Amino acid sequence: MGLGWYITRRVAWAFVVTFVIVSITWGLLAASPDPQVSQAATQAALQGGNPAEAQERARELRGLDAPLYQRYIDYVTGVYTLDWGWSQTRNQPVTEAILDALYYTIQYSIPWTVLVVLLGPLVGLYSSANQYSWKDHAATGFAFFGYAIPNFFFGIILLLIFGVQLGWIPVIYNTDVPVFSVANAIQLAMPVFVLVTGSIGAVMRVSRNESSEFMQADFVKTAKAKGVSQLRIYGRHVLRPTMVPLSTTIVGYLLFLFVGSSLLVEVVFSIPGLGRLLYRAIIAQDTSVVLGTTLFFTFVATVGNLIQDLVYTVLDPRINFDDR
Amino acid sequence: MSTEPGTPLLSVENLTTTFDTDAGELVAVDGIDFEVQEGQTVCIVGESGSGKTVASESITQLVPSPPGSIDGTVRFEGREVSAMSESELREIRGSAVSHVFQNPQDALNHCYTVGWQIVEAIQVHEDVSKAAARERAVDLLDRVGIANAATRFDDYPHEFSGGQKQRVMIAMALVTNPDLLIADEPTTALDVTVQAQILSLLDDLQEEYGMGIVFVTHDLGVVAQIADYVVVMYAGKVMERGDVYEVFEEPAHPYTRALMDCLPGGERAAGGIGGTLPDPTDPPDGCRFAPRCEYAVEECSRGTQPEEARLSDSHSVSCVYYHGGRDASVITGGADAEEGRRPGSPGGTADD
Repeated sequence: MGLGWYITRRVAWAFVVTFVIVSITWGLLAASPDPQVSQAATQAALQGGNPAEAQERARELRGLDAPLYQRYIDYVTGVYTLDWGWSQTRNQPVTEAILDALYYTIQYSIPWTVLVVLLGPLVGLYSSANQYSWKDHAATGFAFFGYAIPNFFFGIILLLIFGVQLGWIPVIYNTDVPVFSVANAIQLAMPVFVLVTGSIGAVMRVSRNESSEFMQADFVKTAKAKGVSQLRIYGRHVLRPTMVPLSTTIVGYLLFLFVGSSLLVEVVFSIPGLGRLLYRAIIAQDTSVVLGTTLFFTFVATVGNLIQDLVYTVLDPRINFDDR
Repeated sequence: MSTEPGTPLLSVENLTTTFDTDAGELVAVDGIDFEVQEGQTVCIVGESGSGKTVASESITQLVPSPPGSIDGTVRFEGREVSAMSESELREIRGSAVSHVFQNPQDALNHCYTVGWQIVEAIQVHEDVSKAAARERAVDLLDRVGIANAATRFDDYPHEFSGGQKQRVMIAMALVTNPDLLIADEPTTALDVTVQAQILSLLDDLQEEYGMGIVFVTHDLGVVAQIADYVVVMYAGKVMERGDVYEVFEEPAHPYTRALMDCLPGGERAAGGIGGTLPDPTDPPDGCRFAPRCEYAVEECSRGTQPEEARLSDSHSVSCVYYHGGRDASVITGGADAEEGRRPGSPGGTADD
């Protein structure tokens, strides 16, 4: 019982959640017309053939004539055996397309996430330690700026200034440079910067508010009366309890940005990552890629929430999992 | 210690603590003096808001600054604490001068085990191994009456009751063997049985370790139990001070007498003292207690708080009735009246 049992059940629930989402996406897919089938019909009509016949042939070719339950079972088995279908536009399996794209997404996502997780709480703590001083106002102003300005717009402006006007950064993302190279660092600096400014605001604000609450707490006075240094008080006695509510914001917000904003940022900076893969698939109506990418984001979100719940237990010993 | 004989353990002179608030400058402690001798227990008494907590936290400058600012001279073992740098202050906080606070519920950090927090108190000041610090912590937890101290060491604060938490706080305060313990209403948040246990624990520990204690309380019953010396505070000023026997047997200030009457069995046991504390941002002229004092005369509301009049070597009072040939027996009453108003002594004592 206890923590181990809690984790087991939490993971099992994560599977149930993905299963429900997989079913819903499949339902939407089954209900929507297949663009390639209608395309085949149009083509046949233009070439003087029988559109109904061509449509039938196209459906057969894609296994769409099978009964619904059969198609559902095939699809779900496919999802869990990592057979996510074939991309028409890219001529490769969807899983392969996702893995290829993930390679580029990870390159900027890891530095961005690490920076936000490290800097966000610290900037908030700094702000609340200097509450209502000019330092606090400067940090808060910076946070609100990043929070308010749309990521894609900020990205375009930065590209215009540093890429086009000043020529410091390449305007077109170069996939040929090695991952660990200065050239790669330079071309990833802007997307990372845009995403950090966009997300650090929310994290920093929550960190500031939560830690201001603990700055005046009795246990901080106790620590001071024990002779603990101010720096250690901030790091140990204030930051630690602050991280409990903050971890929710961090995970939630990072996921939101990972799924939402990174898509726009990838399109703006022309990074061939997951976001751009999804964007192009939507434009080209490549349904299996759209579904595959959606599924991938779903899994990431589910795992993220799972991690967040587990982080709770480590951070706040008062949370008891025995009877949940 | 290199202190000369006769130097008090702690001497506080003209201690003034003000807070910068939106409503103006708030004077919480307005120039108080007192001394604590080695092994002595000094009680600072007064009702809520009289500035006693702020006074106790001003000694080692725990008051957050800004908005607070502390003035006056505090000497500890002859060294001037009030002139110390932040790092010098850190050195004496928790090692030579320890604190126990009013509300044990929040006084411990809920994210760390009790043992971790006691070990921190040791290791901040002494270069000892974790194992050695642990041993000392367990030993002291045991000493303050935590059963199974060795296993409770690894428990979190929320797994302790209020009384146990206060015991942990006391253990944490004493683990560095301080010379002075500042206890700010350490029993107020606890129920009466636990309160009695904590008080007798403090008493035992004081006998064992020989530290001086500054004990802040509003409860005269507690004062009677533990104090050697009493300082009565009202609205940031000292009203009366004296040996515990002097203050209890011959309370000289109307405020002290009013507080005594509030004890169970006293005249005001149910009613309390009429009126409220003056506005600390705009204190009245003259004696701070004058607006609520039933003996107040015109002179009470003029000038500043009256000079303390000496009644004996240790006993003094700040009241106009003890100056300029006024008849103080109006306050203390005649010999007969005195017997009549003392709680629990309706008709004279065996000494008569």
